[in-house]
Amino acid sequence: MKRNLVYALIIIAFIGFVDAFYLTAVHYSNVSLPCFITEGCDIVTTSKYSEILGLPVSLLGTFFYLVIFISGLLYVDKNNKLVLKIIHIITFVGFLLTLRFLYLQAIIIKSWCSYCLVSALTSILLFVLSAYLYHKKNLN
Amino acid sequence: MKKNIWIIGFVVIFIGALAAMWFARSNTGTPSPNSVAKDEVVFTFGPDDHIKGNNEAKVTLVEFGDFQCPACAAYSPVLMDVLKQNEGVLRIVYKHFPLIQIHLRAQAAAQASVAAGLQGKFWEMYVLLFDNQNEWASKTGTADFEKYATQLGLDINKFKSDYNSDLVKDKISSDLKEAIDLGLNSTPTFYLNGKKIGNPKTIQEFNDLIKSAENSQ
Repeated sequence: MKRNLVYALIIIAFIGFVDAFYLTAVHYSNVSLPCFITEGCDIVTTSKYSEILGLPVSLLGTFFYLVIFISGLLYVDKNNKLVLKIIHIITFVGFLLTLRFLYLQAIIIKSWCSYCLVSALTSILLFVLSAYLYHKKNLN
Repeated sequence: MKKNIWIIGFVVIFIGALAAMWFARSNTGTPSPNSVAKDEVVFTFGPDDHIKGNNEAKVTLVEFGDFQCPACAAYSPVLMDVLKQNEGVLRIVYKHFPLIQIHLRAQAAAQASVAAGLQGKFWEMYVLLFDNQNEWASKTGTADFEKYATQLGLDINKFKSDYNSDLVKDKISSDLKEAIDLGLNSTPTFYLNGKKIGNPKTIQEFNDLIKSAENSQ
């Protein structure tokens, strides 16, 4: 049962990874140019909220899911409680960031990005799942 | 099994990354800077198009614009002057190309302009939106748009309900789709009698282009 849940965690992280990697690839394939008064405004794929410290949010997401994915494999391999704790902490941070992105989409940008919603769903699922796994372990 | 899981895991994630990249490359739903704009287009205009000037004019200038784009704002008074100097010969058609990826308020402003258009004041709203771009672009909500609507003497209740109507949104979406289908990737983009022109730097440059378009008719 527990092992299956860890596999579920790995699979969800994989889905999140593909989704975020896709967004990152789109971000970098549509190279943006600034607005010039005389030349015109060229398209970029981003709003100003789509970057944190100059990195696209989708790239951070890609690393986030990759870390969870690898940690999941590590847990299956080593069965080390510490790994579960780390997953739990990282997914909690991911969960908080997800709440912020949902807020930005709903209130500030006022538009929903379907791929970002997939990512929101996967990161919430990861958080719930890792919390369950971690606390169940503690109870045992 | 335990050792294999690493191999399986890395193969799976590698395939996943490749698949994601493949999908990203074939992504065609949004305008891309890599697209190439069509040089010649046969436009047909309907009753819902925003047209200013003599409808029988020999020369038609189509502008694909975005109300939050600074370059479009810079062109707005130029175009009005050009139209005045070429009265009777020229008509201007505005098409919506809101770059919503970079301009959070472009869509809202476009809706305000179309809603004003339903009361016959599209071009008046066009001028106001561009003139006051700095005022409304950084805010949320519709208070500024409603203020302009009041200034123009519009029926404010009708304006508010039109602003959110499907009719208004559909007009913008259909213009946007046209722009994407044409491969456009920047605003403003101009077509003079169906031929794409580079962005003229001066009124004189516009006038020369219009003169030669008129003579080649």
